[in-house]
Amino acid sequence: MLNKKIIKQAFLELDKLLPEKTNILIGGGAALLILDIMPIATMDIDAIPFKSVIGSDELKPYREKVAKKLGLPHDWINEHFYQFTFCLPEDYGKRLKVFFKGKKLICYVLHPTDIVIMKLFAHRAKDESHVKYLIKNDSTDLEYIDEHLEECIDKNLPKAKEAQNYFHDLLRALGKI
Amino acid sequence: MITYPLSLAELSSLYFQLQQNGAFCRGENKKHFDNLSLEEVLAIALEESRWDFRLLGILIDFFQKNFIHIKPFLLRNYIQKNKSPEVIGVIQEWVYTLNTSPDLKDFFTLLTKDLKRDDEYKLFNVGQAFNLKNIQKEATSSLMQYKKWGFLCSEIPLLKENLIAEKRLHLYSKEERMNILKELLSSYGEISLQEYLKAIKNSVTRQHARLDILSYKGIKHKGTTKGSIYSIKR
Repeated sequence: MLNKKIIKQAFLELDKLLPEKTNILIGGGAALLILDIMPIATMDIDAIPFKSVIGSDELKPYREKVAKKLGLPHDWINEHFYQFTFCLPEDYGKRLKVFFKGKKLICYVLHPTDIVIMKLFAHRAKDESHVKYLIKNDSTDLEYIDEHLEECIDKNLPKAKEAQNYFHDLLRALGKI
Repeated sequence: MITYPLSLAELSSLYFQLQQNGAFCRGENKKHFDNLSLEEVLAIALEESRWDFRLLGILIDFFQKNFIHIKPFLLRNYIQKNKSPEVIGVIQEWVYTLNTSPDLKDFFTLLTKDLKRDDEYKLFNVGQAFNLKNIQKEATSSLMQYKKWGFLCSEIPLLKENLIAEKRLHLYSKEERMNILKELLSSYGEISLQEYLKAIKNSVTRQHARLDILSYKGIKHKGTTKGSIYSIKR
């Protein structure tokens, strides 16, 4: 199981191996753990390389070397996170927080507001308690989420209407509207 | 344990194994995936196709021409161990745009019957550099062959030789076409028939496209020739 200390150590090892400057974007449960929002038990880190020359293919051998050295699962960086990023707001970059800064590697973490948006689109039963917790968290901007979902509906983003309905249901259940 | 995306040496070997079985590709034997059955090789290739889009076109072509040599129950068994077993559903939809023989349909029914698909949508291509604008374009103009299986992608994966077959591909439902039209009109204010056809990848005839535009609420047009311009009444 990963914890904040192990995650930092893994990125430190990765930093030693990388041949050039690389940025990594972290989301999902690991982001909540890193941001000290929720003590989530996670086996992998939802993360992707971004704004870097190094892509998934290039990252793989380094990722695997770190896994071997620290005894982590071979896919401790889970890049499948990429496939759900289409619903992120265009200004997500303004809210990123730096979690790790090494010689070559910088790891950024998504803001809870953006994580809620991704989880609303995914609409997984297992995530519901996390989403509720995040909605109650002061750093989550509920008004912004509502506006963004409206924009997504206008853009015809798949599942946007369902995400909005889900959001409103949760707000109602939590007595926020 | 195979991890994705495959390394270059693994990918080259995979292409080699597919080539040996008659696929339209070329690889080099780097000693990976030796002694695997065709079905095992295909299951690996299906998973890898989300990282290597070219591979998807090769597989569509291969399944269309060689399905008779594939053991569907064995393949189904391997596919179910993949992280994205629904890729075979996408292959099925694209193969159907090229070939609808009853035998082929029976074959795919064995593979895709009761195949679980997630309720959520996800981007098909996972190996691309992260660019939010491009990703959102993928999501909003995704083709029905992907959407049916819970994926989002706006690229036609067919190999050139399959595209030459003078066939119009059914890529979007009427509702999806109207959404694309709405997006075009709100981005540019006015459009030509040609621009609309390009946006929907020529998936309907000119006459059909014209009817789509004329059915859009509040549309007006200038000119009656090929160069007609359509805009929204203000």
